[in-house]
Amino acid sequence: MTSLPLITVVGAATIVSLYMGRLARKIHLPSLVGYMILGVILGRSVLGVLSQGNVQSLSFLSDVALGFVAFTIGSELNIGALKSLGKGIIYIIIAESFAAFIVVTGAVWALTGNFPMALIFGSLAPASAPAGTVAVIQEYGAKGTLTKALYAVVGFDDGLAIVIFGFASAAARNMLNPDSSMSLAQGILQPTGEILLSLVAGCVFGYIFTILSRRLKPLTDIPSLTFGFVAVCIGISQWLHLSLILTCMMLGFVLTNTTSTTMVKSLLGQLRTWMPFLFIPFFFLAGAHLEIASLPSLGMLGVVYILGRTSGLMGGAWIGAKAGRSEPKIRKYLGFGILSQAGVAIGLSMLVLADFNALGTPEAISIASKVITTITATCIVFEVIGPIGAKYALTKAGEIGRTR
Amino acid sequence: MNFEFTLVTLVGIAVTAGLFSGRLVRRIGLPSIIGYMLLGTVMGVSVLRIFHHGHLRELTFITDIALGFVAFSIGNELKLTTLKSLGRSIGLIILFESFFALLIVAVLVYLVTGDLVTALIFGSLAPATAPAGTVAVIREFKAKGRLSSSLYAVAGFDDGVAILLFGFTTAIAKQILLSDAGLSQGNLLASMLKPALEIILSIVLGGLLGFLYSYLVRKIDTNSNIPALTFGFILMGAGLASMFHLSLILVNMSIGFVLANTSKMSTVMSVNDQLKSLMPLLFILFFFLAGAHLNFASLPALGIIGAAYITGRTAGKISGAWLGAYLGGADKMIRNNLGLGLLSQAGVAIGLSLLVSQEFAGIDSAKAHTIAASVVTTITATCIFFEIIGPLTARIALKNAGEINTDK
Repeated sequence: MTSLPLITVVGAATIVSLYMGRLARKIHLPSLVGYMILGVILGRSVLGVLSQGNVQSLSFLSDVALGFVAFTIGSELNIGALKSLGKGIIYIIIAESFAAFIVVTGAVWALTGNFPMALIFGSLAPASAPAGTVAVIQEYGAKGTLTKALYAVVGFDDGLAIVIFGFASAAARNMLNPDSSMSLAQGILQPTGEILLSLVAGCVFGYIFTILSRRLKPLTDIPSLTFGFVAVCIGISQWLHLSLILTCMMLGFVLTNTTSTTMVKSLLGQLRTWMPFLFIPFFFLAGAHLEIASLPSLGMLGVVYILGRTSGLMGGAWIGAKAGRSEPKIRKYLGFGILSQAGVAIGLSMLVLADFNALGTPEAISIASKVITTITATCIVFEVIGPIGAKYALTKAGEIGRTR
Repeated sequence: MNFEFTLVTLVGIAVTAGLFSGRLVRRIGLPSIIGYMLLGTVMGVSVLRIFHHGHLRELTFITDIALGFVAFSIGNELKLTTLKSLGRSIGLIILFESFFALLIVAVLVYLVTGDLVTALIFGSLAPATAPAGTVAVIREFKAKGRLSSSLYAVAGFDDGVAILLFGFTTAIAKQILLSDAGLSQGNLLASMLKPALEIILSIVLGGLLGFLYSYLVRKIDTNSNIPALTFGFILMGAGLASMFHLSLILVNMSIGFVLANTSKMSTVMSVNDQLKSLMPLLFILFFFLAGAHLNFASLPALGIIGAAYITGRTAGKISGAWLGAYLGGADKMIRNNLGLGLLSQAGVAIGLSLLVSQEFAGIDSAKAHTIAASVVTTITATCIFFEIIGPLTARIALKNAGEINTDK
C-alpha cells in the first residue's frame, strides 16, 4: 500500500474524516475528535496506511493550519473587546500558567523526589494548544465574553509558557551540571528575546500587511495576501526559532486593530469557509502522530502530570479571574477551555531531550527519555479531553447557540 | 546568500509578491497571470534561482492540485443545456482545431526536416491545450457569454482528443521507425487502443467520483462542510489519475460535470462561490511555479523545428477552430475568435513529450535517440512562447467578442 500517492491519501482522508466528524457530532463530541480518531486508525498505531514518512512530508500542512489558527486568534482580539474583558484576562493568563507550573512541579517532586525532573515537567505544563479550542469555537459558532477570553488566553499564554519553560529548564540543567556553560540569566534572556522578537516580527509584518491590504481593491485578493503573509511568518519563525503562534497572532492582531471592521469581517468570513478544511488535515495528522503504544508508559508520573496540570490550569484560571474581577461565567468555566496540549509541548520536550542528552550525565539522559515518553502519552489524553472540555465550558456559559 | 529559506517562506513570498506583480501588469492591460509568471521566471531557475529544481519538485503537488481545481471548475461550467445550445459546432470545433494543429505542424516539420517520424511526433504534440491560462483569464475578467462557454467546453474536452491523437500518431510513428530500422514490430492495434482506454477510464473514474460526490454534497446539511468535501474529491481525482496514469484533467472535469448536471442550481452555485475565494490563490501559485520552471537556457533549442511548430500550431488551431465553427453553423463571433483562446500549451504537452522521449530512448536506433533528445527541449522552448502568448490572445478574443466588461 506504500505506492498510494500522497494526494490520494490526503483526499480520501479528508472525505472520510468529514464523516467521522459527523459521527462524533452525533454523540455530541466536537468533530475534531472524529478526525483525530480516523488519524489514529490510519496512522502508525493501528493500520499504518500513513507512514511516518508521509506524516513528515505533510507536516507543513500542520504548520500552515497552526499559523491560520493563530492568525484567527489575533484577528479576534480587537483592543476594544480586550479592554472590556478588563485586566482580569492578564491575571488569568499569569495565574493559570504559574499555577500549572507550580502544581505540577510540586506534585512530581513529591512523587519522585527528583527536583530537576520536577522542574522540567512543571515547565512543560503551561503550554496549551490553541487549535483545539479555536476549532471548537468555530464549529459551534460560539460568541460571547468567554469566547473572547478563551481566544486571548490560549493565544497569549504561549508566550508565557515559553518564558517559564526557558527559565525552569535552564535552572534544572544547572542543577544537574553546575559547571554548565548555560547560565541562569541566559536561560531567561534567551526565551524572553525569542518572544519579544516574535512579537516584533509579527507587528512589522502586520503593519506591512495592513498597508498592502488597504491598497488592494478587489476583496477577492485579500485571502491570497493573507495566505502569503501567514506563510512568510511561519517560515520566518521556523528560520529564527521564534514562536509561530505569537508571530502569526500578532499579524492578525495588528490587522484587526488598524483596519476597518468591514474588511476584517469579510476576511474572517472567507477564512471561516476554509478553516474546516485546514482543521481536518491538522487533527487528522495529529491523530496519525499519536502513538497509542506509548499510553501504557503513562504510569504514575503521567497520571500525576495530568492531574497536576488540570488542577493547576483550572485553579489558576479561577484565582486569576477572581483577582481580576472577571465575570462569574469566565471564572467558573474558562479553565475547562484551555486544557488542550499538543505540538508545542512535544516540541519543547524534544528540546529537553536534545539538551539533556548533550549534558551526557546518566541522570540527565534518564530524565530526558522519561520526559519525552510521558509528555507524548499525556498529550494524547489532553488532545482528546481539551476540545471536549472547551465545548463543555462554552455550552455551560450559554455561548453556543441553539440554532443547530 | 548562503542561507536557505524554508519552503513555506518561499511560498509565502511568492504569493505576496505575485499578487502585486499581477496588479502591475493589470495596469498595462495584461492578464494578472502574466505577472505571476514573470515573477516566477525572475525568481526561478532561469534568473535568480531562489527557487531551484529541488524546491520545484517538492511543490509539484501544488500544480497538480491547481490543475485539478481548474479542470473541476471547467466541468462545473458545462451544463448539458448550455452545451446543447452551443450545438454540434462544439464537437466539430474540437475535432478540427485538434486535427488541424496536428496536420499543419506535421506538414511544416516534414518540410523543414524531411523526416516523417519527426514530423509525426511533433504533430502529435500540437493538439494539447493548457486550460489553466484560458480559465484564469475568463475568471479574472469575469467574462460571460457564448464564447466563454465555448472556450470552457473546448479547452476541457480537447484534452481527450489530444491524448487520442497523440497516442495514435506516436504509435504509427513508432511503427514506421521500427520497420525502417528493421526491428520487430509491436502490435499497432494494441498501442492504439491504449490511449482510447485511458480516456474512457478517466471519464468513467471521474464520473463515478462525480456521482458519489454529488450524492454526498446533497446529503450534507451544513454548507460549511462542502469545501472540505470538494477539496477531498479533487485531491482523490488528481491522486488516482496519477496513480493509474489517467488524464488528471478529464477525471476532475468529469467530477465537476456530473455535479453541474445532476444537482440543484443552488448547490452548484454554492460550490462555485466557495471555490471562487480559493481560485485566485491557486492561480498565483500555479502560474508562479509555471514561470519558475521556465528555463530560458532551452530557448536556443527552438531552432527551425521550433519555429515550424509554433507557426503550424497557431495556424492549425485558428484555422481549425474557424472551419469547425463554420461547418457547425456557429456565428461569426465564435468562428473568428475561438482559436485565439486555445493557444496556451504547457504541462500536458511537456508531459507527453517526456513520454515520447522515454519510449524512443529505449528503441535501438540512432534516429530514435535523436528524436528522444530533441523533442523535450524543443517542446519546452515552444511552451515558453505559448504560455505567454496564450493568455494574451485569450484576452483579445474575449474582448473582441465583447464578453469582457470594459469598465475595469
